[in-house]
Amino acid sequence: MEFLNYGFMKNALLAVLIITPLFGILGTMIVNNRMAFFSDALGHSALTGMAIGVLLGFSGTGVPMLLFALAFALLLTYMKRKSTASTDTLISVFSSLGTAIGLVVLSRGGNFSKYSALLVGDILSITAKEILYLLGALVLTLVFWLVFFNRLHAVSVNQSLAKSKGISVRLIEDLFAMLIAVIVMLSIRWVGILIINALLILPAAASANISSNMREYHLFSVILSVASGVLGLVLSYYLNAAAGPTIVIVSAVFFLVTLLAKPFFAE
Amino acid sequence: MKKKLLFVLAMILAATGITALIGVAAKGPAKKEGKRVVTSFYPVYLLTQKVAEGAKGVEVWNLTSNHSGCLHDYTLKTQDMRLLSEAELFLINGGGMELFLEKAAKECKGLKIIDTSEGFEFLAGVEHHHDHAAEEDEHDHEGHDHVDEDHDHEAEDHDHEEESHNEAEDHDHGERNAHLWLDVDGYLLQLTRIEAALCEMDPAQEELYHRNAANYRKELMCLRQDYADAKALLSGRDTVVFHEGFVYLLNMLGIETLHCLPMDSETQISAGEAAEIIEECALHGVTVLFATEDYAEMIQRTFGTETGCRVVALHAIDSSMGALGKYGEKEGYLELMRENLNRIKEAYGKAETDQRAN
Repeated sequence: MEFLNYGFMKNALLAVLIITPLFGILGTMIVNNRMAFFSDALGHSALTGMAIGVLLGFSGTGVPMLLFALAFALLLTYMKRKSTASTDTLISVFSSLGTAIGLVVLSRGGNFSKYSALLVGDILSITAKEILYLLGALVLTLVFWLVFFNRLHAVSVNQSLAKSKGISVRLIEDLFAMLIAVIVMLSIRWVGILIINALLILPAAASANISSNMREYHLFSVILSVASGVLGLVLSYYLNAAAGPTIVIVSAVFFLVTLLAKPFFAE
Repeated sequence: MKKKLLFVLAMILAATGITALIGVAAKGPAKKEGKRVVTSFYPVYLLTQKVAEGAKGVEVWNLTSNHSGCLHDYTLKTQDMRLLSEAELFLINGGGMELFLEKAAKECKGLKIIDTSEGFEFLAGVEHHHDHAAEEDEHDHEGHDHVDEDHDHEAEDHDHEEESHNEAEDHDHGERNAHLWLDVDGYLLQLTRIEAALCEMDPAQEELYHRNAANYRKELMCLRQDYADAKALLSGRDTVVFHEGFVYLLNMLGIETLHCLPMDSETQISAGEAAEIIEECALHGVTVLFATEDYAEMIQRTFGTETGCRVVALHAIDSSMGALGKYGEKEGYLELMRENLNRIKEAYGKAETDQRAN
């Protein structure tokens, strides 16, 4: 446990202990509601959010990124509802556009390298204050989960049925999209655009391999998420590798093992 | 449910076991003995090694040893943070080169950070593709609709740069060209700063540091003289460069940089920029372009045939990779700077023979 002698590792571990259960819970909801591609698009839109921040001359790019992501999420859900184009096509268009605008603005004069940390994230540089923000995000997610989970689940199973039960599908969808936007933007600097979705989806997907009910699904997702986060971080310390990608690799191994084990748990 | 939970836990346990094994197998960074000095960047590392040569109980580490090129996109690894958190002194290049620093430094309290370029008058860096290096004001603009025509003079605090250097048009972003080690004067300044920082950290061996620094200073002065001598032959020419550091290097020779287009792995030359450069080369009779070895071939393909220019590869001396290996860390800087000078002289020699032949 020698690594805990270092302040930066303590902070990173603390951040992982907050982000991973958060991602574990959010991931299950995302997978359930078939929004995996949506959260990925949101991650990519962070580039445009940052570009807007840079253009407007914000010193920190956090606020414009967050506002842009919220607008992006709401617009996307709106288009999804109204448009006749298929959802994955729409999301793909939004995702590419978000990336492209960000790249055009941020790479003016070959200076993109300044922002490329956003691509893979850097959890080792997280500070105490930023950990508090993440804690806030975790609380927000838990509250949303406790209050809305049943309704969100109903929407994911059958929209018309949910409507007939008096659930406002639109409201639930919008709120959920906004929640994803907030969480993605708060964690993207630590996790990175290229891998954030892997962290959101992999634990839930691994859990889905072996679960037969909602309780198992959520429990295993959170356990696997936390385990891969902590183990990935420790591994990255010993292997001198980047932390985020190492966590993803551990998650992916868990996913593959559960996939192989799936037949044994089929009931 | 129980069976599954057991399965999940067993899987995690197995993974933990593997992690622990790796942890035992991986050897941590060498135990610290005496004082540790960490440098952020290769040129600073080379200098610090020179000054600390023979010092007892002082180890010099470089953070980014395996990183090629400049640090703009460097992210800290755990190993780096470990090095830093046990270091007494962290010597950085400054000028905005170490973007990753802000945070890392905050995490390592008690670490003394010395900006080795403090007091250096940086040239403005290249911010976006329209502000290319502006020419000196007295430079001849005739018959040339130049983007910099409405050059902004209100930046009073930059007038020194405006008098004697190329500078980028756009001051808004305060971007600086941080590659001062390619200006021998800049490197001399860094030497002095490093000397002072080491003396302060370890007064017991002060004498050694002063002696080492004085010796190396002499060698750098010789190098500066070589450049000054060559200036007589080379000054007054114009060129386009593809690495920001070369602006400093060529400045020492009186060669004017019309346009600087820094290349790194994420850069693609836009069509507009390419056209602008080609036009500029024709207009100013540019015969030689300068790029780093990594990009020289690519630049030759893009611009060589189009402009008829010769593309010359120079050393940016910003990483341990490549050319530095030939001379070793001790003499690398001096040798590569001499090699740069020779290549520049040779290139202009050839280009001008060609011209006369035509």
